[in-house]
Amino acid sequence: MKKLTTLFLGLGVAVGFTNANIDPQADQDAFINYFKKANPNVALEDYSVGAYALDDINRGQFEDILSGITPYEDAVEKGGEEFADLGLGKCAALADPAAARVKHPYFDEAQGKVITLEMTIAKCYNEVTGKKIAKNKGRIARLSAWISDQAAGEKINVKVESDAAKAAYQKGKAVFYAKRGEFNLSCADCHVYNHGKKARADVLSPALGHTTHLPMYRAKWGGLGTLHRRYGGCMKNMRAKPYKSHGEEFANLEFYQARMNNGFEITADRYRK
Amino acid sequence: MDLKSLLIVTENKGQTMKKVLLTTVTLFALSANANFNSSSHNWNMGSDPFKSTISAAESIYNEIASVNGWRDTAKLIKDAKAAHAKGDTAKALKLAKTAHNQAVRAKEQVPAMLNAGPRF
Repeated sequence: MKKLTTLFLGLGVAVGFTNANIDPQADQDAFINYFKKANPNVALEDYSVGAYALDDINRGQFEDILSGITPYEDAVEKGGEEFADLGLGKCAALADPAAARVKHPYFDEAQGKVITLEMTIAKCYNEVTGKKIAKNKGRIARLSAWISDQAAGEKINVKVESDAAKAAYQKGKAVFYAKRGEFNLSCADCHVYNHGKKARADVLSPALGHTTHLPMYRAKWGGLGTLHRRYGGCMKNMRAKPYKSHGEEFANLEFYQARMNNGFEITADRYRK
Repeated sequence: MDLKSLLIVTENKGQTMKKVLLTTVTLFALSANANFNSSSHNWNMGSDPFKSTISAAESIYNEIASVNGWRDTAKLIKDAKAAHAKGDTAKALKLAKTAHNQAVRAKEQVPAMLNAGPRF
């Protein structure tokens, strides 16, 4: 039997979606309205602070952490030094770091796939040093955080225009809503339908605003990590086998999630519990 | 009364009854065959239940791993093989059955994944 991967990747055809049915703006409107209805007292822009937007006590602690020297400040500064020392600015795609952050993730028509910021950093790093770089944490997270800091205050503006881009968006959307793993959970089960509730001691963050503060610093990690590192952790928590970081599934998922956050400000406040 | 005797008796009672019984027997045979041909289960345990179970588990897991593998299935398969190599057949079979069950359930999730979308 042919591998189910083919079926999954052929989603658009398999389940009868046509590109005419794919309307990211309508999806985002419905997505935002869901959260507005669920939390009428939460201002839309506050979703960029994640679960802290939903609870005053936790919000106070979050703001206390940000008001001092943040635990990630040194790492981000080091990322800036590494960016300069390595000469990553020589790569056209990273020559203007702020523009690079705003541009990603994007659908590359020539390659026929979604490109994340970390994929671009890794490619440039390889061109400059001749070496590979791990894509989840450490140096790439520092570089990505510093690049993202340059775009703080600018707005997410993911474009889903061509048929191929719409197909990738649709696949990412399916990944977001698909139940998987031994616990039979989807991303949406926690971060849409049950956001604000607790999973053990942690408040489940709302999916709205998820891509505004990346890469994030997590106290649990004791360091910075990329969105795909977090995706991998979430999937393990569902008792599912994670997809490959910056592979097609996670890149499409990021594409979908980022599109749901169009218009939200990119923030340098990247602390999470 | 075996099937042959049953058919002889019914023949004596008339052609109509015979047709009814033949149809029933045929339907039963077909439905039983369909159940035993399920792609999700390997009922051919052969002389070594471990080998057939672990083989079925691996086969299904490899088919779906890139789409919807479960976190622990590969480790269960590995541990089952290790237990079998050490001669702990009871533990090996138990782990193999768990791995097989996981792989089957993971495969069952896939069709719904293809159609996944919001509930609002």
